[in-house]
Amino acid sequence: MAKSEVLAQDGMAENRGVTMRIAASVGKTLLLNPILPILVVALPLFAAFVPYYATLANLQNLLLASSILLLLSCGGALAMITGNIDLSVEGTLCFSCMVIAWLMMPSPPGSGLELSPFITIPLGILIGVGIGMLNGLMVQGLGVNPFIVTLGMLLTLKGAAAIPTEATTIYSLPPTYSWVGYNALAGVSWVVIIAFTVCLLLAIWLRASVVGRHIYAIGGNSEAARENGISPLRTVMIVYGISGGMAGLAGWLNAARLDSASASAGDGITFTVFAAIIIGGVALSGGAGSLWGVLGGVILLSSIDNVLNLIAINPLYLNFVRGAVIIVAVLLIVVRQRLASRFRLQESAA
Amino acid sequence: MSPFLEIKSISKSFGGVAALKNVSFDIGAGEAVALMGGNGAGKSTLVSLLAGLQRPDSGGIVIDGAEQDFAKPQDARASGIETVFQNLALCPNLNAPGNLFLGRELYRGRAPFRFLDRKAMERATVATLRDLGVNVPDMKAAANKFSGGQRQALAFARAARAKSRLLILDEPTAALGVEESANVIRTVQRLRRERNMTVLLITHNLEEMRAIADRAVILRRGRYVGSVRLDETSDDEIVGRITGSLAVREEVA
Ligand SMILES: Nc1ncnc2c1ncn2[C@@H]1O[C@H](COP(=O)(O)OP(=O)(O)OP(=O)(O)O)[C@@H](O)[C@H]1O
Ligand SMILES: [Mg+2]
Repeated sequence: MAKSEVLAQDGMAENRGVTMRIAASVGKTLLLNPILPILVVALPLFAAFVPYYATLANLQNLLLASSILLLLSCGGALAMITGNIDLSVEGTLCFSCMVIAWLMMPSPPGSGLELSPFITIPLGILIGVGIGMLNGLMVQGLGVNPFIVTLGMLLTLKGAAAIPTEATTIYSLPPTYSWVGYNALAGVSWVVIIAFTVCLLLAIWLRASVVGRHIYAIGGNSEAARENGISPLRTVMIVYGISGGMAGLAGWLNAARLDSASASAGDGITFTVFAAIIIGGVALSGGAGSLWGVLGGVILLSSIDNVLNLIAINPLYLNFVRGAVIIVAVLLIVVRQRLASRFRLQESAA
Repeated sequence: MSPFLEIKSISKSFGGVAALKNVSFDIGAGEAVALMGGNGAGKSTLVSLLAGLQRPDSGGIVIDGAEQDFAKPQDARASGIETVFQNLALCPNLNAPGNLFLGRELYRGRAPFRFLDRKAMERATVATLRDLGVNVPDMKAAANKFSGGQRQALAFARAARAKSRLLILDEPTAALGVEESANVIRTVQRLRRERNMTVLLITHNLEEMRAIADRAVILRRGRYVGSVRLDETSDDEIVGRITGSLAVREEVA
């Protein structure tokens, strides 16, 4: 064989290798991700039987409605993968956007400082990071139960959010701040673009980076990780910091979308966040799960809300149906996991 | 010849419990020393100091004549100390390469964007496991799918892999069957032969002690009791020193 031929074949083999690897990873994801089979069944059903579900306008709606939930769920999932829990994300969202709105707006209801959105947008995210790192410090540094720490933080932040404006809602935020809520790229809202891009990058980082590996290691066996030189304090603080930062980002996007900030922003989203994380296949005990699964969980839950909306269900039944559907989804996932482990389909987390 | 490792009047206490009281002894290069002592004698505490998990309250660790201060496990590893912990220190959710490179992952790129070099870790894992004659069911399977013996072998492979100079084994066969235990002992013997590895073995098993070690250092309730050459010492004498019955007799006599 001529040398060039060999090279060409090498190139082909490499190409085939890449295709195979992609195919294998898609197959693996399908088998191991508990949410995918449900989505594969549910979404076509919605599309077939729910009028308007599969329209472009509704898709845009759906993605927009998913964005905030996705950011909070991905952050919360990171904490859960380390074997902890972060119940505070709703509070962080609410608190950071309220403080920011107060700093940006003339008095009253604002502070009169009228800070530029170019300062307040990063500041809002940093406030979230700071809150998260404080959570991480209390959980891992002081050894306080993460459930108590973050539940306390949730209440504290939701309460604190009402203080600067005495619980009045702030309307008509600066146009620069709200720009992302009112503009789109190729029909896709900037809120959606930002939220999904950030979460996709985070999903890749979690899978592929060294710190991501440490996150799984700590969730698997924190003592073993420590004995091998991984710092649980550092890792857990990074995780809570990211979770808080994502909530801070969600606070901005949410306020921009509504062009208002209020102490009731995000009210009640905590339950949906944890439903998405668990339906997405993240183990409550830590060490397993992926953000791809969480993305699936978010899409499923948003779709359910969206469908209930589209079929104009009596609002009286809304929470009942929502709750029941979530329980059924979780049951299905548990059954699937049992089957998977019976057939030894489980795999290492990383 | 100056010793490879010198432990110099080390003390360590936890709250009111003094786990180690002024312990000193040496280990020569290429020597295999068994650290013997009853439950709670302070053996695992000494291991944790040598592995960089915690610092002594006082006293020091000297390697090749140089004083060491291990602030973290990486420091101990950098000095060539590798440890198989009593609890194995494996992550059940990670596969063989994941555990073998736990805390020292091979990566590309710079912090904070260090990305795992999975290929390189897999290759190195295959090579290491083959070299040590360790059989692992499936490289991709999580460690919680391994048998007790396979887990032990994995933890052992991790410590014996690198350019380790001192191999610390904390009750390496405590959880193993007869055959697996024999395998571990053979591998340690081979590492000593082929790589002149220095070994610190912790065990309650006298047979294992004799199969691996040249010398026994005995601790009792956190204190150094003595050091004996195994070819000159009977089991009874060692047991006597561990329990204290012998020492008491000596003191009386
Ligand atoms: N982290 C810790 N906190 C409090 N006390 C500790 C800690 N580690 C060890 N101790 C105490 O120090 C003493 C020595 O314990 P160590 O684990 O070193 O004993 P050991 O010789 O390894 O025993 P065994 O043979 O049972 O493994 C014990 O009294 C133990 O309770
Ligand atoms: Mg011990």
